[in-house]
Amino acid sequence: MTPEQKAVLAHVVTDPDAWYSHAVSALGEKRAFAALAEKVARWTADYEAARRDLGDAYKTRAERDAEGINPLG
Amino acid sequence: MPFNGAGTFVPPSSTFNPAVPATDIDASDWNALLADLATGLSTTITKDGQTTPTANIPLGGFKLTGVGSPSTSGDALIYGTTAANAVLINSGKPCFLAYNGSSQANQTGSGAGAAPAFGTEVFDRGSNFSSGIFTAPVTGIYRLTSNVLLSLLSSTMVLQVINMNTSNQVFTSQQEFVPAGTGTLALKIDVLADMDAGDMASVSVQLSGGAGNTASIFGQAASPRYTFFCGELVA
Repeated sequence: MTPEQKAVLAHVVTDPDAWYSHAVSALGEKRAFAALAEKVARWTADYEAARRDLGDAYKTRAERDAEGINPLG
Repeated sequence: MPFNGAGTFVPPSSTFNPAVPATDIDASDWNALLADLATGLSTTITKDGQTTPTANIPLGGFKLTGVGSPSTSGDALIYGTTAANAVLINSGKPCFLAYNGSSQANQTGSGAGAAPAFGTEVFDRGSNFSSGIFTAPVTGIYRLTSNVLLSLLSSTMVLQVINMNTSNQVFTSQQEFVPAGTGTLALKIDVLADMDAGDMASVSVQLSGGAGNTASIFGQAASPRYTFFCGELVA
């Protein structure tokens, strides 16, 4: 996974490495590689728009989730 | 060889093909031509249904138009079909159903998350479900549904949560219910999730307020199913 792919993936999922590792495990390396490319292609525009709109305030999915309200504390 | 394999009819070369003025036609050549014409015409599809194709028919991107409404199994589906007996059975569509065939003791109660095992599969078309996790084989919209029966709740476990954890987002159903004594409680969640190929979906539950993880996730081998997880690709 390239740093660019990882950055886009981190915009959507909480743990890019875990996502890819699971995809390889479930789909096999070839299909997982294609799924990664497809997912990155699908979310790149959304990621770039968020980076452009939010600038330094941009947060990854994990950072956004960490700021969410947890009713269980 | 009336047709050349690419759809072109090629009449046999003979004493009159090409024709020469004032030249007699050889009888055997004439008969060979008639035989070729007969074979060629018999290879074509007749409009009154006398012939049946013997191979797939490539349409090159063109449509069949004016097709009648399907009325029985094996009929072609048409765009916009609403015939009552037009049943579409897609055996290739990803879908699964799994349940807890036994209980998982002391799983939750103190606020920690617990994952139902869903260890018994009823069906799993495409083999996309394993160890409580569904992995989307293709990008699409998936309906994901789960019911989890919690047992041995104490009266202090007053906040109950069930999560549908998908790669792109987490869906949560939360309620505050005060169990009476060692009660039971069913947590349910039903979502339409936007999933990319390779994304995973799993279920987790949390109970808060207890002194420890003393509540159980109920399951049993016999029907009815109390704790289950099912899903399908819908669009």
